[in-house]
Amino acid sequence: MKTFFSSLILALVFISGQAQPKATANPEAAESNHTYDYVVLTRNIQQLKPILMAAEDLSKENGRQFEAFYVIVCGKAVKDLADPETMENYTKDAHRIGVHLMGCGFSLNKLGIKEEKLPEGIKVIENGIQFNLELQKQGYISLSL
Amino acid sequence: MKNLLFYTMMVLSIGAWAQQQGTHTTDFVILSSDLEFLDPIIETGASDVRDGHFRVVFFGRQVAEVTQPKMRDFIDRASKHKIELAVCEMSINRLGIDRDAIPKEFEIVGNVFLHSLQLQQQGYKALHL
Repeated sequence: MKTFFSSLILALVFISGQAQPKATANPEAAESNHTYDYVVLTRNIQQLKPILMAAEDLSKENGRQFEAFYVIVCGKAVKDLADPETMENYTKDAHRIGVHLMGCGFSLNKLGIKEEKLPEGIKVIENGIQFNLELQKQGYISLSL
Repeated sequence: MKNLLFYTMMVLSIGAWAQQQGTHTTDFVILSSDLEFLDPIIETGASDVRDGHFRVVFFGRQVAEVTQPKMRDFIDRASKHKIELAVCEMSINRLGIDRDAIPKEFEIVGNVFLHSLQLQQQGYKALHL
């Protein structure tokens, strides 16, 4: 009797392990509520304009909003991050749209640019490549230019 | 008979439980036409973000640099962290590089873009530098 009940319990565990998740009753509703997160890695500061335009379009498209949109600047382009005149409009637009502007710490250190020299609105991430891959692992849609 | 049934169900249940847990890992491929990112690439390949294959494929004009002695430190560090290295054959041919001069740690792949797309079809996450 004990063995019978033990087998029955184990059978229930087995069956629950094989069960598939139920399909959404209304897939279209589920799709429209879905948000995507994005990360773009760029080595050219001039690409910030079309990137921010893309982010703005994505935030308006079919009422979709993104939870997070990161732009990581790597390479020699980080020297432009420290130029307030160059970055003024970019930081304003990024803030308005909800885009996070990040500078790669490796690149900044290589060029001797200190974090304090960066305009407000630009954060520093220690390793831009690692950060991009971490976000991809979390399901972010990624573009590297 | 009862014991056979018991043990069979136990094995099947453990299998079902293990299947539910899964051992999902993420594989990465980085295409690099620029050698300025060697240090952050090594650091990334050695970090916790990496739990599967981590492959770096070099292409473009910089491919000629992989034959230089100054690359040995990077190659050794990559090997230490089991970072897979590769170079694009099209770049090698276009630059007239002697294949025998390519360090043995590098796999030679025919077309870097095709290689990356094929790896992404297998589920790799990709980054282009």
